[in-house]
Amino acid sequence: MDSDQKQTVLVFVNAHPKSHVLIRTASNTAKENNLNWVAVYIETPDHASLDSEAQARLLRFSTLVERLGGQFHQVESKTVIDGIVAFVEGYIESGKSIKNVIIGQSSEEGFFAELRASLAERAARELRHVDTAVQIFPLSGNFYTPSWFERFRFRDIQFADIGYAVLFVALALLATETLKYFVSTTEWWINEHNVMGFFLTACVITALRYGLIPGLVSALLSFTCINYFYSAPFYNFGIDNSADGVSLSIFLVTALIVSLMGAYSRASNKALMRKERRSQALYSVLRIATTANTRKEALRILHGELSKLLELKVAFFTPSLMRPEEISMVYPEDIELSENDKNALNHCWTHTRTTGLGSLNRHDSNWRFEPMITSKGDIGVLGIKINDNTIIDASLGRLITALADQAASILERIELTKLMGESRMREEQEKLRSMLLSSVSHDLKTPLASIIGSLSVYKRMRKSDRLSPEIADELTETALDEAQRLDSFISNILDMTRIESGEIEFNKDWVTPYEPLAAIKKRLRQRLRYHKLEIATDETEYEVEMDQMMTEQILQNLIDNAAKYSPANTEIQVSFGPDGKGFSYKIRDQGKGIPDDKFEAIFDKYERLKLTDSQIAGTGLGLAICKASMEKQKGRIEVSNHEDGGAVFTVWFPKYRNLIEEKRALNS
Amino acid sequence: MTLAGKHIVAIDDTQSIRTFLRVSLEDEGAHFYEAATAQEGYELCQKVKPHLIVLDLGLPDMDGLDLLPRLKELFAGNDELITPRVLVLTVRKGRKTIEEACSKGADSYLTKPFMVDDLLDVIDEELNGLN
Repeated sequence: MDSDQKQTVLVFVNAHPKSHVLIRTASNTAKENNLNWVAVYIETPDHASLDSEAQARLLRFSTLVERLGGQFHQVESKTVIDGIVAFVEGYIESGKSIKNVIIGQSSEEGFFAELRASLAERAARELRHVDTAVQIFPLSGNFYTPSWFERFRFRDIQFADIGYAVLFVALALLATETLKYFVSTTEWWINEHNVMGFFLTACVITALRYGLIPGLVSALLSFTCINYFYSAPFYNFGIDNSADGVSLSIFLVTALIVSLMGAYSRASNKALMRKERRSQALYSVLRIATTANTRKEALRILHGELSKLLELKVAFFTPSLMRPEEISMVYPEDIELSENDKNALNHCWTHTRTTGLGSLNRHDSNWRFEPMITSKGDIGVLGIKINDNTIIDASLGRLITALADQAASILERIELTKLMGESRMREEQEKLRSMLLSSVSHDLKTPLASIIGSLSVYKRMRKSDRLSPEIADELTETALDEAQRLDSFISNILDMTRIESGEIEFNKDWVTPYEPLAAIKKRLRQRLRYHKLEIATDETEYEVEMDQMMTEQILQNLIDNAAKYSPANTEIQVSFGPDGKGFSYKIRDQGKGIPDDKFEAIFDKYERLKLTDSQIAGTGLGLAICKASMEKQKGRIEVSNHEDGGAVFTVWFPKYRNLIEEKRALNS
Repeated sequence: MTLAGKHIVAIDDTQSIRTFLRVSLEDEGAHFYEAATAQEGYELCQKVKPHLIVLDLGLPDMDGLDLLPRLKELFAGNDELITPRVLVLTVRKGRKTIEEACSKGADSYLTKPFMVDDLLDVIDEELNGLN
């Protein structure tokens, strides 16, 4: 049967010391009938005021539930009954069915216990419209409820707060004294009845702002003040008449109640705020950590943020690559563990179970170890050192579990990205290698085929004595051309390799722009025999900073290309001059121009490789080399199509100077 | 050997290859026609109706392997025409490519670079058969 279609046993637990009986009952029922089971804890505002023992117990229950194969839910609600009803209804609405509900009933003792229905009975009544059996399970011993005083966090008290309590009462006294001074007694007689309001205000403010003890202090102090200053006999603690006594007593009771209520609402508020802060912080921690790209960075961010959030010592333990079965790496590295701590850690890693403080496997350690689990299994352990001031309660425990889960998924993501990146890189390299091989073999073999072919024809015809001088010339010229092409292709490959490996050093010099062109004209005479090379006149007023050898090579490549890709008897124009902040050469041919989608691609050596053998041998890499060597010179190379047809290559250098202007500037 | 009266079309984008093919084949007495692209080559074959086609695989406008079946189609089903022999001349020497070329109708396969005597032997074999 599919686990989603299985019926569920629901058990509601609280901090009652015997709740584990309920949990085991639910677990056994579920196991016997092959059902799912879920344990639910309803978190009411009282939760914040549970004592540390009860909190720790809840945490143990949650671990127990998970160990026994159930799910643990913690649900917030104003009252327990509302929480139970809401959870049951929500569960059924989500399409799951409930076999039965188990609720514990403690044997309450006391005056009203006989008169009122127990919590479990009331819950059962509320659930009677739901199609499920409610099983009430008696638990021996007292149902744990926090007493009134336990609900306040006495350890929060600071002496400064008591100082503020005194201050507020003093302010109330000051206000009444001021009134007494300014308001004439014929209009208003100041006595304990009409000053009570001022003091009550002081009590409320103190209780709300500073909690129970300062609130009580202010209540007592106010009472004393009124008694001393405003009730007869004045400036004395005695009380003259019984009416004053009654009203003073009423004031005291009111002030005490107000203080208690104020302090109580403050405590709940604070608990809520703490919770809110935790979830906010959790969210932000994870958001920040998701930006990490390496494992180390992620650990650093997670460590920093978690330490800040929890205000506790945090450590990540991971296995090493060499020995994956053993936890041996720690982040940060300066963490020291005792033997007990190590036992707890190893237990956590080997059994994939929460260990240490507040867990079922404490090992007498002050650390809490939470396994970091991903879909692929556990990848490490999150350790948190719990100090003496921190109560490890259910909410903190679950927070740590959530943090461990999230940390695990972040680390897993990084690991996966890395693996994918590596394999993609290997694939890419492999593809590139085979592309390079096929490209190189084509580019080398085509000219070789021509050379071998031409020469073998030459030899064959020579042998049979049918070789005319014209044909001999044609064949040798073809062979020579191809040999040159082969030479330039091999140099291109070597150049590219040298530039990429940084082997070529660039020697920058101030050069007049015509210089690199001068040699090219002569050198390319053979290749340009079908084209007309038009070079702009020598302008000696400029000097450009460049590596002359490299620039010659680039310009020669471009002019050679222009000849290759434009029809015979057309013109190739080379011009140069200042261009923006720099200086540029422009080489224009009268060919078909560059297709719109190829402007970038023609400079890309990989693009060239993709074409394999369908292109003229020895081309393409030349442009990639031009681009690489222009980049080394901090310049750039671009291509565009001329509006009158043909491609225009622009070679741009960032630095040039105007000699004439500089001379003029010197003279003046 | 002689190739007298034979019409041979070479489709190859490398000028220098076409040059020495022309010189050597004309020397043997063949009528030589050349094309640099697949399109040109197809049209030329339509016009010339050659006895033999020398085909390069890496053509700029179409892969020779795609052109091959179209060339064969051109002559299939027409009894008046002799289906030309096709000799593939390429740098590709992968087993798969060779098999593909043969299955698509190539009669011979020669990898570049090659000696012209070998080429002429193959052509002789194709056109004149083994004596």
